[in-house]
Amino acid sequence: MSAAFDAPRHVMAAKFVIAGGFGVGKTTFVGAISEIDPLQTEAAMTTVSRGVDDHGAVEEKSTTTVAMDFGRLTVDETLVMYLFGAPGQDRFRFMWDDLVTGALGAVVLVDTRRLADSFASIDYFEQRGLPFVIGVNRFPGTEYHRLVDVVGALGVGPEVPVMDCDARVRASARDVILALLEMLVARLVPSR
Amino acid sequence: MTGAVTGAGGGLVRPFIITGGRTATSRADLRWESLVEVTGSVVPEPTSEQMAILAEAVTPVSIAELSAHLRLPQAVVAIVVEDLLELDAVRVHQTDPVEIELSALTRMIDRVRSL
Repeated sequence: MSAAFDAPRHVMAAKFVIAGGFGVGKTTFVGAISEIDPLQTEAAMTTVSRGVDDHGAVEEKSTTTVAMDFGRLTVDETLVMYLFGAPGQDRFRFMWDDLVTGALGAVVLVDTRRLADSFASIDYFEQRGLPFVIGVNRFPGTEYHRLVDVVGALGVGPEVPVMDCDARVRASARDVILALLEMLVARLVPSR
Repeated sequence: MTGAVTGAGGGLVRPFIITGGRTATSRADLRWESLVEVTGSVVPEPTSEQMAILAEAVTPVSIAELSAHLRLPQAVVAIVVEDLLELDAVRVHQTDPVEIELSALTRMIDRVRSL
């Protein structure tokens, strides 16, 4: 054993989940924050076959694997952030327990044309008590809804930050993650 | 997908060949974000998957990244990592969210702000 390995330092991984309906921009969001191009990985073959069995032939293009995109942002030698884009469709819900276990917080991306697509994510994080923020992804050419109306439609409490977000713009995605991190700080330091 | 995967050695094999028939790790703590790092211990006659992981894990790397780079499902990587743990060839850095205290959050905020 070489000397370099004598006193291993502890390296921490901070996991964040990026959720929302299909096509809402999760991978784009991950890519805006990640220092590497988003990577794709596949879920466990056993859980996948269970998921496929549960839903059977009703799924179009049903496959035996579920791909998930994720990214990484190195903070320093002992701390790395990981952002996982949670597969949004209901048939992948079996993966969420795995993904959320050990996570610090989540971002729910919302498309105002398909608000209902985000309900499952919001319900899930509320039930799990996982801190989350909501990013309202503005797609070009869509009707503008005021944030206050979106908040009303989503029915989230005042403790949940809701903000505009263009997942394609790094500064915008950055501000959403910052809001989440500030929220986590506030939970540690309630009087701040 | 047909249930076959391209393993680290480039050959097309069904996943349970790599794992010796196992479909899940007994280590529930091997999660997507668990960081794997080599210890420096030598593995006698490593498999191609073991070799690939040992080569990548010279610096701490997550199971998710290993899965992506090796093009193996996460469960398969976890099983190979479990084997390497038993050989003392790797250590795994686990993070309990309660470990992430104010100083870590502050460092993350500074890093994200710099984007």
